[in-house]
Amino acid sequence: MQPSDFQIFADALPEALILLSGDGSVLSTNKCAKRFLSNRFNSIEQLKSLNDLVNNDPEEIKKSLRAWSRSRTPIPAVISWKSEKEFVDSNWRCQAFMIEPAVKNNPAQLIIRCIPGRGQLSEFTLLNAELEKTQNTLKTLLNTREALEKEHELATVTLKCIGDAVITTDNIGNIESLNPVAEALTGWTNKEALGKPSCEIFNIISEITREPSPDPIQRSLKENIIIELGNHTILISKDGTEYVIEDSVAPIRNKNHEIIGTVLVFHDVTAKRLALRQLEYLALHDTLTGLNNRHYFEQELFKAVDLAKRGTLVFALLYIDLDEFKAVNDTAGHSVGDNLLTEVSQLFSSRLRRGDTLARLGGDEFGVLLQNINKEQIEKTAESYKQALNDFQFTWKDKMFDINSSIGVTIIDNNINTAAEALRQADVACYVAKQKGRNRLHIYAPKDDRKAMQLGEVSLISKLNNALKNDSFILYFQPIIDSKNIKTNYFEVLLRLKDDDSIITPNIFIPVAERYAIMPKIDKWVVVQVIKLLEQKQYANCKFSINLSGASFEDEDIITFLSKKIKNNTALSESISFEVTETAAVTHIEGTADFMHSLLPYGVKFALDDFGTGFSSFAYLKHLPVDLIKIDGVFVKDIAHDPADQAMVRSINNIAHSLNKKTIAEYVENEEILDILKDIGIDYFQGYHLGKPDTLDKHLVFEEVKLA
Amino acid sequence: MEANLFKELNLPLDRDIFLRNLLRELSGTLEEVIGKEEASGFISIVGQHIGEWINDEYKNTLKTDSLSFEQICNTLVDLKQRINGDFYIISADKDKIVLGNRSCPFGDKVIDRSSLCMMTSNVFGTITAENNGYAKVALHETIATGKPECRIVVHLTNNEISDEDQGREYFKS
Repeated sequence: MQPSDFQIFADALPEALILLSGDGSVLSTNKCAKRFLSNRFNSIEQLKSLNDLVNNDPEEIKKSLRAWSRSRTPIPAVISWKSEKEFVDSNWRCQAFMIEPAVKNNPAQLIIRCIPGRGQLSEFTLLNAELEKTQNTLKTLLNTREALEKEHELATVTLKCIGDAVITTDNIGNIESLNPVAEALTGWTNKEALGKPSCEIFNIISEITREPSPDPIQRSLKENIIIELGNHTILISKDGTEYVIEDSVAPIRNKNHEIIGTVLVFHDVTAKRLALRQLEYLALHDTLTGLNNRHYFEQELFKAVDLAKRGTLVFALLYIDLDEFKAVNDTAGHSVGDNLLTEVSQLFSSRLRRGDTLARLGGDEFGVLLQNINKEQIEKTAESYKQALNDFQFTWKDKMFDINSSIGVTIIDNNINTAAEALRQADVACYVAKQKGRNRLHIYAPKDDRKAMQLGEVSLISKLNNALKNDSFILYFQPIIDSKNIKTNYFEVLLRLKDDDSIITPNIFIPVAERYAIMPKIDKWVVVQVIKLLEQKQYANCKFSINLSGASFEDEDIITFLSKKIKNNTALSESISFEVTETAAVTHIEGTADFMHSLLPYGVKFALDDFGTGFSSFAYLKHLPVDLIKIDGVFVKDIAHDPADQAMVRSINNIAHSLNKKTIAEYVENEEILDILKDIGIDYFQGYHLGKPDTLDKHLVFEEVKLA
Repeated sequence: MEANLFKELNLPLDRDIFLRNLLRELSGTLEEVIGKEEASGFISIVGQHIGEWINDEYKNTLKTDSLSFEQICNTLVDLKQRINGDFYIISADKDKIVLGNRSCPFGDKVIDRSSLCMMTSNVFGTITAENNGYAKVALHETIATGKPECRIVVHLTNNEISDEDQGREYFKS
């Protein structure tokens, strides 16, 4: 066949046809074959022989050419086509056959036919590909299933272990699941609750009004938003138990963002709320008498002064000091003194009119704020308080004590500018009453100031201010002994006020300094002096525990000062720590916590002083990041003979250790006490037996002798 | 001890049975996967290559460049007997050779594997065409399709009779 004849009939055919001579030379190609070859080769003009087109071994092709030459019936042509191009459509099935020469004895010619859609062994390839695809799909499915099972297991375990209660509902608010915590709080089991409306299981009311609260699940479903539960929500369980709860409901959406249910997460905050209430109570009340404390009284006084300044109301402040209290304490002991204070509190409470405020201001001092009273009634009322105490007899073991009082009175009208001024005037008046011979009342008059200044606390204030200016305070140091280390280099810093030839102790000047708000200045002075000591070589290895007053925790100036000092010299946090009394910490709880947290990142340590006599509550330890608890000396000094004290110290020590806090016992006055404290496991000791307050040099000399 | 016992076990397994089974499974898979027609095409290629090889062996042994008519007849029968077939000449003339077969070299493994018959067709066709210039092999009856014997006609000339007969043509390469 002539190539031109071949093209005439072959071009019309839809299959790729290649005309070859018996030796494999390419004689012609039809249109479809040209397209087929163009997809593989950059130029098909150069393709002269079948060997140019295929990857097969030339010997193999020779054998195939013979086989094709033998058969007029198309037989499979096992051909691997070459390709110069990246993308190749390989899905072709090829056959070859011989065409007889038109002229006898002329050589036979061959035609290779490429049929689109099915390649050589395409069925195998397809089958394998399909099989591989199926296997991969199966593998993916299995992996997905395994992953889903793992996820599910993880979610289930998480839900079971989680401390929060979790309830899920469907898209109309019917219960789908409750985790164990939700079961415990609602009182419903998962099985019982299944399918029930959420409001039946999640029965909530307002803590304040006790009216049913709106169902947050329905609201979340309706509004398609996350709903936070109100702050004062109470959950009533199936058996009627009430829990204060907090938290939220969120809608669950599928991938098309359609709501398919809700998830309600809540937790029981009853204990937290009670602790908070207890803290609030402790912050404003005197734990011994149950009366309001000084902090609360000052807040009320502040409001009263504000009202009086506007001229709307007149108040009066009675400052009552018990005259014989010290005698009772000294002769009958502290516990009897405490009983006396409690009974006097009840006596005063019974005299209060509506709107009046009574508080224990400290020690044996009480304050009464009389509301809306005219000047004529003031003296009469104050007199009635004095008379009530005169009529009162305190009895202990058949012994009777006559209790009298000195009462200072100040009138709070629009002439008073601040609460502190009102308190100071009443204090001065009380002082004058005492000076006049006790068991009497005195109404403040401006001339009283001079008298008080000459003899009383006003003069003390002036001395304190002078001491600050002239650095005439004296620092004393008392060793704190580590139970695991014989070396003494840890001291509590104690402050004394020099007054001519005598020394004024802190129990005298600190209440006055607090009242006149100069404690932060004094605290700052002490810190500055201690830092100066640490800069001296001989004291560089010492560690100091510095007392801070509650007021300092709310004083921006001293906070900024300390932060700056410690930031600039982080080694200071190793050398100085701070002590604050339990009472001061609790009455300034927020300021104290903020202060402590601001210095915590620098590694500063804090100790809680006089622990056990104030509020006797561990609740606030959770809120204050203190490292040390200093057990009040009243439990320690009689520990050798008083089993109750020993039990108290042991329990404070155990609880402190369980909270990862260390303990210090003060008032260690003899070896016997020390042995008991060591046996209990106290971490540090302090007391006269181990070292009295003295100058630092004396302690260090003693230490050298001891070690030598 | 136990190995000797195993040697004496009467099992229908030796190399021949194994190879026959292998071929049966291969052709069966091929038929199932790509269809009988396509499988026959592939087996044809194998058959032609085997035919070429056997033809060369007989020519070399008989020391001839081309087998004569008688030699072709004898080769077709002899080669089958050597591979456990039982072929015999029913008739032979210048136009065609008619052969019968009482036993297939593949034994009972050929049943339902008609693609394997392409081996016979191609081996006979290739040997005949290479020596005679033309052959057309028609498989009239086969053991593979359930007949007791095979009946095979090898046309030696291309004429009206061969044209009408259903079979595969082979030409000298």
